[in-house]
Amino acid sequence: MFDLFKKTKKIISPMSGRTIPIEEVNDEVFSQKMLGTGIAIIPNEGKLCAPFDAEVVQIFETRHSYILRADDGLEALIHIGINTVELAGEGFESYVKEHQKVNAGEVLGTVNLDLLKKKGYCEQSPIIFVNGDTFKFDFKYLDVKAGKTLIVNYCRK
Amino acid sequence: MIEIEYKIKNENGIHARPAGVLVDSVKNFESDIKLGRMNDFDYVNAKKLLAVMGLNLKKGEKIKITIDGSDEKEANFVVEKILKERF
Repeated sequence: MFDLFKKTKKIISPMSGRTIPIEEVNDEVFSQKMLGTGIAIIPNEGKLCAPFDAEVVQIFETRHSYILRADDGLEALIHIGINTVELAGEGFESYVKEHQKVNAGEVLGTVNLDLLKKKGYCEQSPIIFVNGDTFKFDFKYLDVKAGKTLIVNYCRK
Repeated sequence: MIEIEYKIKNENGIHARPAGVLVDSVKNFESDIKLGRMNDFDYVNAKKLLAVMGLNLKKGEKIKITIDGSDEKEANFVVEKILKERF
């Protein structure tokens, strides 16, 4: 699938749980790839790690989503849970600041998954590659550990 | 050029969902479509998701959208519909 002469890069899982195809997310904005291609995690732990060496481009003020940019220009939107903007920050903690450089595996923040579920929110957490058009991806669907398990190989087209 | 003025009514502001729907709906128009706070200089390309989300628009804020190009009438129709339904 990948050209040997192009450099393949790795993305590790930002959360522990299980990865699923983006098409299976219970929200058409994500499943129909309106925001771009990607992969989703069904988390079983609330820790969120950086999936690659990155600059933190944006943390939404409710701390339920992060935008990260890799050195090669790949931009990822990590969205914790579905419709969780409505929680207005309740249950979310963040340990990093915008424009901060982070290393793959570094803890970015936490989410209280019990609270999410108690309030009736779906915990599926999509990672969307918003400028994914210029990259090729190989997604891995499996049980994953935050900051450890490889979930995506990618390279420039 | 067409200009639209609008006041954000979405309780949660303009995050992934409304921004995504807007960007997805306008990205194939030839027209140049810009969006920003009224009376401000932070106009961004409405076809770029991170730019639209990056504005961090909140309920009650007044925005202006400008549409300029050969298909601006069609684009205007779509943009107005999305503003009404999602913003």
